Parts: sequence; structure tokens; C-alpha cells
Amino acid sequence: MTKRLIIIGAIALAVVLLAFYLWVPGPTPQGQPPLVKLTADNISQLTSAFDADPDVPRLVLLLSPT
Amino acid sequence: MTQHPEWKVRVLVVWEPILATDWGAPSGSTLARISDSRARQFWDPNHGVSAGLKKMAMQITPSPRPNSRKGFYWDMAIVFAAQARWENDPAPSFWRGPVFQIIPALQESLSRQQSARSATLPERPIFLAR
Repeated sequence: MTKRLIIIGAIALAVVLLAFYLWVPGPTPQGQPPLVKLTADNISQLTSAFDADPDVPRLVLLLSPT
Repeated sequence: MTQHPEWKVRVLVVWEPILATDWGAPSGSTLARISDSRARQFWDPNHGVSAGLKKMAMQITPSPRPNSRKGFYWDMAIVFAAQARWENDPAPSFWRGPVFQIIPALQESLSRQQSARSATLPERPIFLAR
């Protein structure tokens, strides 16, 4: 019984840690603002960043994490 | 980018879930791959940026086609000249991928942009006299 509880607890802990890893974004490198999660409501954050420096070229990189 | 700290450029990095292993937002080690302070990073799980770029893609001949199975753009580098504004759906001056294959061409494009920018700037500060 105790062994079963330990196994269930370990699995639950692993699930929680996995969820934390997946849903909490990592920190950005020093000198950069925090990562912004874009939604339909805040897509303007990207367009504002694009238009913030109109005097310089802009490079947009589309990447996938893995 | 690290080879050209003098370049005046703004980098917008948009991470999208494309592959089956892209379960969540990019980790710190993933974000650290773009360490330049001229960069700003975004996580776009709904592919809103890719959708917004479709109009801009139409202005290039031949138009870049979405290259993911679900019809999104990814693994692409897109350069816009100075004075471009997002709401005007500007035509990109460079749009190619996959990124790891086009680094030399991208550097050349950015170098040209720097030269063009320098040519439009005065060599000396202009002082206006009353």
C-alpha cells in the first residue's frame, strides 16, 4: 500500500513538473524584455515592437522551439 | 548578429509550435539561442503572426508559400527595410528559409540594408541656425 502511494505521488509530481516546464516560459537572455505570449487580444505588442524603430531595418525570424 | 554589433537592426523572434515536440512555450535554453540585446522574443501558439504575414507575402514575386503542414510560415527569415510600418503591409526585401541554410544570404541582405541606411543619413550633424 505504501509502495503504491509512493509511486502515485512520484507520478503526480512528475506531471506537475512537466506542466510547469511546458506552461511557464523560460527567461529571456539578459538585455532583452521578457518573452511575450501572443494572443488575438495582444498581437499589437508585436506590431508595436515592429513599428517602434522605423528608422532601422527589421528582421523577423519565424522559428519552432524544437 | 554577434559578428556585427554595429548594425542598427531590430530583431523580432517569433516562436511557433510546429513540430510534434513543440508542446509548450520555449524554454530558457531555447530562448538563449538568440542572445543579442537587439532582439525581442515572442511565443505565438495561435500563429497570429504567420497569418498577418500572408498579405505581405503576396507582394513578393514569387510569393512565399506557407511551408508547414497546417499552412503556416515557419523557419523563415524576413527582412523589412527602414521606414516599413506593419499596418501598411510592407513588402519585405528578403524572405527565405530554412534559416540555417540562408545565413550568408541573410547577412548580405542586412549588410545592404545598413549601407542603404548609411547613405540616407547625413555624415555630420546638421545644426539649424536662427
